[in-house]
Parts: sequence; structure tokens; C-alpha cells
Amino acid sequence: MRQYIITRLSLLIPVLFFVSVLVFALARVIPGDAAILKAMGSPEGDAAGEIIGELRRQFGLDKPYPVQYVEWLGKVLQGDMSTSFWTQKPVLEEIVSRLDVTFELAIGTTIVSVLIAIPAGVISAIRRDTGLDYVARITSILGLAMPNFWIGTLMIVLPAFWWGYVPPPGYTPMAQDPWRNFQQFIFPSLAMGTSFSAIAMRMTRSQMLEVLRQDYIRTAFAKGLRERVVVYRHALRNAVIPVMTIVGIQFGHLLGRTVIMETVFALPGLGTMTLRAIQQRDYPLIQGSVLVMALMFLLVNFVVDILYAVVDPRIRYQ
Amino acid sequence: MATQTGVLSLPAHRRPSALLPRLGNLARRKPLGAMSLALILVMIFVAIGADALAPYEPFTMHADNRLELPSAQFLLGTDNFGRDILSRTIHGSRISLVVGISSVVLGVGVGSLLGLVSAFVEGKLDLTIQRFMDAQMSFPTIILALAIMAATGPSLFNVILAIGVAGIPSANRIVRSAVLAEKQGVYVEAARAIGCGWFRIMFRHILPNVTAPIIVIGSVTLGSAILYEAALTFLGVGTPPSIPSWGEMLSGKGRQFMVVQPWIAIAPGVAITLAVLGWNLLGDAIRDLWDPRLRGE
Amino acid sequence: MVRFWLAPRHKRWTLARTGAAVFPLGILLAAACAPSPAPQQPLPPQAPAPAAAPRGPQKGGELRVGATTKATSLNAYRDAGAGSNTVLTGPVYDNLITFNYRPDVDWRKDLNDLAPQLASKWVQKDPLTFDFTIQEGVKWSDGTPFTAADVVWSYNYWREPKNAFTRASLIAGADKIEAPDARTVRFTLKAPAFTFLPNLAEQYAGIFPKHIGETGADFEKLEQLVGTGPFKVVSWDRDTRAQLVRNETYWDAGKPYVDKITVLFGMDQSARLAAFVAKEIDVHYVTDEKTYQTVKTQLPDIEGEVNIGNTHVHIYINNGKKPFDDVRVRKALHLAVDRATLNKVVSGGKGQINPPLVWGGTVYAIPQEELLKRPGYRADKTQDLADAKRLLSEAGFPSGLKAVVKTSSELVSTPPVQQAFVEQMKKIGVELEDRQTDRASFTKEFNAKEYELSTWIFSSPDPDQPLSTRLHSKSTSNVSNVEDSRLDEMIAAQREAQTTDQRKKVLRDLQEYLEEKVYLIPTIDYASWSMRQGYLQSWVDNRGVDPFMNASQIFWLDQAKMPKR
Repeated sequence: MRQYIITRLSLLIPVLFFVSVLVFALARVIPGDAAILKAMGSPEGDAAGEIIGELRRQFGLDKPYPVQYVEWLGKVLQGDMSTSFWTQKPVLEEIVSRLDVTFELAIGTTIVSVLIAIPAGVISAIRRDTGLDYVARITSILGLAMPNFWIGTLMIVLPAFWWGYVPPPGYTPMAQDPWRNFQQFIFPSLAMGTSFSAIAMRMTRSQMLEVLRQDYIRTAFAKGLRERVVVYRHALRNAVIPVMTIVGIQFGHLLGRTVIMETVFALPGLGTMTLRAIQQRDYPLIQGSVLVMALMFLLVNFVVDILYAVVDPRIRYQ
Repeated sequence: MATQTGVLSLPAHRRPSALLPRLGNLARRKPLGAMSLALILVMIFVAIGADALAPYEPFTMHADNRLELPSAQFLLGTDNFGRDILSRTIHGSRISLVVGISSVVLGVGVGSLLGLVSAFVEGKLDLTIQRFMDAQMSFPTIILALAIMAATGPSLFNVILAIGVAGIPSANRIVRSAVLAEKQGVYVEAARAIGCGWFRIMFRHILPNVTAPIIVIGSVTLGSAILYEAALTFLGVGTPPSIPSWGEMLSGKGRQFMVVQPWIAIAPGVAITLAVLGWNLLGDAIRDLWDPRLRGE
Repeated sequence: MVRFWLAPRHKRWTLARTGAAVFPLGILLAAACAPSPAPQQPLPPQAPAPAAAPRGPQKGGELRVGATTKATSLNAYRDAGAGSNTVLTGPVYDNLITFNYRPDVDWRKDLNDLAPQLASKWVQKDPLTFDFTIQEGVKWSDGTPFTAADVVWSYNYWREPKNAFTRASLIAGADKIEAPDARTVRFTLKAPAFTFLPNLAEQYAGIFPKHIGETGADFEKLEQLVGTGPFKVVSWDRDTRAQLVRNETYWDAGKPYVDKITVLFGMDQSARLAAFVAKEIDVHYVTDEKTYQTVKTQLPDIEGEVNIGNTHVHIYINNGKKPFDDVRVRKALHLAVDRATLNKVVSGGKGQINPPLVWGGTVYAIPQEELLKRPGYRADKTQDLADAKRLLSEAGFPSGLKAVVKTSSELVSTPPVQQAFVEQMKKIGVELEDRQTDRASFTKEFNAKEYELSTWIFSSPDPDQPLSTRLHSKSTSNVSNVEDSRLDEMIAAQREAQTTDQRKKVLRDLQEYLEEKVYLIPTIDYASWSMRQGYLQSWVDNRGVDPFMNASQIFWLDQAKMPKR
């Protein structure tokens, strides 16, 4: 077991290394840089060139790329992600201040997604190939097929016109005012949850189908147990484990994918911060937040892998 | 348990050649698959025949008929520039199809190739490629696409590039595991035993058996490509506004007129939903067809 | 739900029937509670409202607005080019003088009609010298007394070449800026300049505090945002909101009326519209009259009007790049622009058609009736299009040409103009690629002259600024790549004119010259509809007046009518 853990952890390192190179290179390929943006609009006088040069020096942009990379990476390995070009605050601080929003959105989405996927998947499986199955599957994929920012926009505009209601703008932490917080997060969670439930639903369905074919289920029916008991007590439990794996991986995925919902609902999370960083060419912030998002994804996957290995010993010995 | 009589359990040289004979069965046994096929065919038909089907050019601005609700003259009304929404929606199918197919060919093509090579060669190359794929997977996808678009500039080709790149890791993963599984097959051992070279085995024996998952992932990815294009345009970095894509209609500056002329958003929204629904269900149906386990015999 | 499907078949049917009955009822109930907006109906004729007792301005209340752009910089001098921060920094600083904004009068008719702000009076002692007398008892928001030395320091900081602040050219005409005593500021000009006073009135010419600046501050931190204006900023979170509160020591006693201003960031157009309809924000701009009418049927108390901005959208031409170095090509493009249609599709016909670089309808512009008869501007395009095609042929492009026109997607006004422009150019065979990138990419390319055509704006009421910076051959913002000594002379002449009439004459010649040479193509001033809740009174927001930069001490809230928030 320990060997398994060590192997999986050591695989993380080259992956993170590749991510760091990728984000570093990508950020610099985008035309324009923070110095030009900061010097602004129409530069007056030859001083403009000097100003831009000076700003570049301040930002460390005048050094050759490999040097910039090595310096940045060196600092990161010591736990220092440098400071944002624009806010002058440490990148880590900026990221941490946004984590609660993104986490809450991801958790909300996952809850909604599971609440939809599991019942739908179960129904679809136990009533295979009936009208019900088709309705469940179409509805589930419908959630995936409708662009979620469209649903989100409708959720904001329609209630405003129909009932004069709009979720309280901005972000209020749960500890401060749970009801406001709930209103702010329920709509984006619903909008995203309906999309993300499709995959989990499909998984639930196929796992249930797989389990329902097993001999022990046949035995249970032969014993005369009611369908409800068989499904809940025997089938579902066994089917649900791989589904939870998928849900876990999706959660990791979600942490990097909240940009659109955050933009539609004006929630100040990691996604909008990264978007702003890209628009403003704030290299340390872009690099830092992408690295953190990648790390979170990898860690979540890692934890899911370990839990799976705990549950299914065959995996450990691969 | 009934014996597995599904397609994949037959030895390679004995499998039925194509999908065609099974299509008849498909409609009867899988109404969802039939429905999705119908949706796809409609989309392709509309895309090809857009010039003939659309009552107006998608670019023409009718200055005196801005933001009109559906009427006899403009069946779905006009947008804020006075352009006919029906015509734009029809032409949008062409753009979506082009973007979808091209990005899938790029993404699933490159991904499959990487997966194939990776599984074929194994060893250090496999490890390196897979780590790079993991890196791309853990890179938040939208951010990656956004950065690519910002770096390359707004154009249809770059959108295809960005979306295509996003599709590489999943295709890679699926193909690689499929190939690795196939490599264990008895027929491979048999082929080696009679002296077949690995290259020949890969392309003549293994690849045909891996086409099924490739087609499935291709179909599903095509659906996501259409959604991606809309999402990127929403964030401001998608197709240029001069191109009548569904994403542009849904997310462009026209969106703010939704309360006056809801069809600006409804038409492309419904179109995208139906298209993605179709491609996704088609992928499902194909998967069900080729993988008997899910048929639950 | 799962239970339902696990129930025995006969029970399911009963349950299904009940469900089938209840579910649609639920939907109907929800929809019934929803008064559906009735678009496209003309508003019923309003019975004249009974004359209510006039209510004077009240003190108190919180104003809420949604900001359109995310601020990049808190330094107002630095931000002047972007204008991303006017809602934050505008209410914080004051100028020496301002334009005389009155609700009933079009202030652009006389750009030299100026009103006092920090300066209570001013005197022109000789053609080159101006003396301004500072108001009594002015204090900075941190309590420090305001003196003339602050003005001297501030303007010297502004025009310091090392800082490279945009718009500092507004005071480029000043040779010396001195404070002979604590309440007098003296400007000595290099040459007589008619534009000197209007330049000082422009919204960018606010005064910064010397006592903060001398500590080496860059004015990017919240604590450094000290001004003499009616409000001060107490908190600023880039992604969510900013809060301004009344400056209790404001020199104009009794003002401002409003207690607080809350600025909400991050909401896009739809979210802001929804928030306005739900009365969460008090002001909103929509780009179309129909949207305004739809909202009005929902909220009958709101007020709204056409808001012609101060944006002067132009198609900038890189005059150094082939084929645009040929005047025939430029002229062809200019003639082919159907301005009336452009106005209709972009602004519902409410925008203002402009002559080159001078604000249409204002004192120095070619009068509108005359302008609209000239080639290129006239409504009937048949002759213009024929002439345009002929010119292109003569220039060597009988079958048209291809080029790229760029703009920033982050602006509201230029993308639609560019889209319409691209569409119109197809009529003469000119195929343009409509390229919209984010601000950073666009700025880089525009300033480095890496473009062929660009759609851009220049917000300035007085033509001196755009002419000197964009078209003068010696200007370093000469993105149009123009080298024309006769133009340079005319630009100098308009600045040095001594009377309004003299200046009008020079500018008239200049506009006609620009029409001949077509160094850039004027289009329209983008118009939007500004809506405000019924309880927001005295809101001055039109024809380029920014309510936060110039008029934040005027508006007030009728608190009896405000919702609980």
C-alpha cells in the first residue's frame, strides 16, 4: 500500500513540472504585457519608451525567459509565488482569498449533480428500455446540452422581470449570512449541476445494470424480496462506488471550471480572478492560480485513487 | 448467464464488416439512437443547404427592422443590427458543424495517435507522453483555451485549434487503455507467433478493434465542441463577430436585448441544445451497439 | 421520485394522474405570478401628473451603481487613458474650474463658458498669464488645508515627462506654474492659447495632494486617495465592490446630498439589467430605446433619456501603410460609409453624426444641416458609392481590396460600429476582417502602429486634444502616421486663436481640409439610453457629462421612495 502511495505521489512531480512550463510559456505568448498596459493608452513623449522599460525592469520582464522561469520556479518551491503585478499583494494571498467561493460553488454543484444523477440513473437502470429510461436519459443529457451560461442568464433575468427578484449581488460568506449566501450559490449550482449530472447518471446507470445482472441479485429476487429492498439494500450499494469515483474526479475538474458561472453570477472566485489576470497580463497571478488549480485537481484525483485502492485491493498490486 | 454473443467477442477475422446491416435493427431497438441520428441528419442537411434554405443573407443589416419580433417577413424576428435570426441560425449550423468536425478531427485524431503510439511503445516514451497528457488534463480547460485564443487572436481557425487541443487528453486516455487491453488478446499472441511484425499488428489488427471507442468519443466530443465554442465566445475570445455562429448569437452583444427580442437567444440556444443532444445520444447509441455488456444480455 | 417508480403498477397510475394534474398547475401558478413584459407596445399616453409639491434635495441614502469595467489603476492621472475608474476617482477630486453644466442648456455650445470649482475667480492679466484665486476654507479629506502650492505640485507631477501620464498634454501650453501666495495660482503660457481654459476644465485635470505626493506615493493605494472632492473611497475590492462615503469637510457646504455610493463590479449587461429591474441598483445604461420601454412597462417610475456620449468613434487609418497612403483609397472608404444607416443599426438613430475630430453639434463643428448634405455624410448614397468605386479603380483596385480593421472588444461603443462599418464596406468590394481583441493586445498594436484600420474613440469636448495628439506630425501619439506641415500649422493656429470667432474660422478650414485628405474617417457619437430609478433626482448625465466626475454633488435620493436594502 505504501509503495502504491509513493508511486502515485512521485508521478505528480513531472506533471506539475510540465504544467508550470506550459502556463509560463502560454502567458508570455499572449501579445502585450503588463508594462504596456500600465503605461496606458497614448504614451506621451519619448519618456513612454523609458517608462515601459522601467516598468519591465520592475516586473522582471526584461530578463531572458529561461532566467525568469528558473527564478520563478525557485521561489515557488520555497513557497513564495511572488506578488501580483497589479495589486502588489502576494499571489498566494490573492488565491487563498478566492478559494472559498470556488470551493462552495464546486461543492454545491457536486451535491446537485449527485442528487440528480443517482435517482435518475437508478430509475433508468431498473426500467431499462422503457419510456421512462428514455425520458431519464434525454433529460439528463438535456442538462448537459443546454449551454450552462445560457441557463444561468435566464435564471438571473427571468425572475427579475417576473417577480422583481434578483439574487443579492456580490458574495456574502456563509458564516456572515447563510440565507444570502444560499441565494447567491443555489442558482449557479443548479445551472452547473444539471450539466455535470449527465456523466454521473450514465455511470450510475451502467453500474446498476452491471450489478443487476449478478447472481446474487438473482438470488435475492428468487428469495422473494421486494424490488425496492433489492435495489436499495443490495444493488445500489455496490453500484455506487465507481460512481463516487467519477464524482470525486469531477469535483477536482470543477475546481478549474467555475469561470463561466462565476462570470455570469458575478461571484469573485478563482476563475474570474484568473480571467482578469490573463486580461491584464499579470504573469505571477496567472501562473500561480493555474498551478494551484492543477495541484488541487491532481490531489483530488490522488485521494480518489487511494480511496479506491483501499476499497478494492486488486488495484494496489498493479 | 447467457454466453456472450456480442460482436467484440468474435475473433478479428470473423467480425461483420460494417455498421450498415445493423442500422435497421437500430431504429427498432434503440429509439434514442434513431432520434439522435435523425437530429444529426437534419443538422447536416441544413448546414449543407444553408444558402438555399435561408431566406436572407446572414450578414445583411435591415436598418429599419431592428429588434422586431417574429413576423411574416422575418420568421424568427431580427436582431439588434436588423439581421434575420432564422437565416443566421441556419448558417450557424454550418459553422458549428465545421468547427465541430474540424476540432474533433484535430483533437481526437491527435489524441488517438498519441494513445496508440504510447500504448504501442510503452516504456519511457509512454510515461513521458502520459505525464504530459496528465498535465494538460489538470490545466483548467477553459483557461487553456482562453490563453490559446488570446495568444493566437480571434479567428475561426484558432477556435478550432483551441477546442481541438482541449479534446486531445480524453481521446488519448481512451485509446491507450483500449489498445493496452487489446494487446493482451489471444489473437495478438497468435499473430506474433506466426511472425507478424508489431507495426502490422497495430494497424491491421488492433486499430480496427479500437475504432469503436474512437467513434464514440468523437461523437461526444463533437457535441462538446459546439458547447465550447459558445462558452469561449461568451468569455469574449471565441469566433469573431462577423461569423454567424450560434455561440456568437447566444453570447455576443445581442444578448442584452433578450428582454425585447427573446428569439435572439432562444433560437441559437435551442439549436445548440438539439445539436449537442443529437451528437451525444448518437455516441451513446454507438457505444451500446458495440459494447454488448451495456446491452445487458 | 424513486419510490414512485418502485410502487406496484396499479398504484403508479393513480399517482401519475395526480402528478399530471398538479405539475402543470404548479407551472401555471408560477407563470401567473409573473407579469409578462409586453414588448413593442407603444406607451399609453400619460395623463399629466398632478402637480406635486416641489421637493427639495434631501440629504442621505445610499446610491448603488454597477460598474462596466474593472478598474486597473487608482491613480486618476494614470487611468485617464482607460477611463476605467471614473466612478471611483471622479468624486474624489476637484478641478480648478469646470464647464458650466446646467440642465436646460447644451453646454457644448460654448466651450469657454466656465464655472468656478476650486478656483472662485480667475483673471487673465496678459495674453500669457492667468491668475486663479482659490476658494476659502478648502480642506483635503484627511483634514490638511488646501493651498495653491497643492495645485503647483499636482500639475507639475502630472506633466512630469518621467511619469508619461496620458492627457498631461492638456496643460502642455503652460510654461510656468507658480503660487505667488497661498491662495493664488499663476500660469504663464508659452504662447497665447485659446484652449487653455477649456483644457483646465476637462475632467482629467483634477488636483492631487502635495503632502501625500511628496512622500513618494504612487496614488495606487487606497490610503493615498485623498482629494478635495465631495466623496472619499473607503473600501475597494477589485472583483466585488467599492464603497465611497460623503466627505464631511467638503468645501461646498451642505453638499453632497447622498451619504454613500456603492459600486458593484463584475456584473455583465444582463445581470445589471436584472439588478436594475429588481431595484438593487439605481442607474443603468441600455443601448436601445426598446429595451428602455420594456423596462418602463415593468417599472413605471423610472426616468430615462437618450444619452449621447462623448466618444466620437472614428476609423483611424494608418496613413503610412499601403494602400492607405493613397488619398483616393481613403476617400473611397469615407464616401462609402452610410452614416445614417450606421446610426440606425448601432444607436437606433439617436447617435450624433460627426465631422472629423470635432464634436458634431457643438460650437466649432460644421453645422449639422450643412454637414448632412456633403458627400459621404448625405443620406442618399448612390452618387457616393459610385464615386467610391471609381476612386478605388483609379487607385488600382478595380475589384476591391482586403484589409484588417481592429478594435478592443472590451469597449461598448466601438465593436458595433466596427461591425456595421465592415458590412457597409462590402458594397464597394472592400473586404475587411473584423478583428476584436482584448484591451492589452489592442493597445500594444495600436500604439506601435501595427494596424491598417482601427476603430477607436477620442473623448474630448474640445478638438485641441485630439488634433494635437493624433494628427500632429511631432506628436508621439501620432498613431495615424500623419506628416503634413500644413495641418501642423492649422493645429497651432486653432490653439493660438484669440477669440471664439477666430477659432471657429480656423477649425472650419481644418475640418474641410481633413475631409479632403481623409487622414481618418469620422462616424458617429454612440448613443445609449440612461435609465434611473424614480427616486434618484437631479441626475446630470448626458452629452458627455459624467455624473461621477463632474456632478456627484448634485444628485440626491428621495428616501421615502427607496426600497429597503
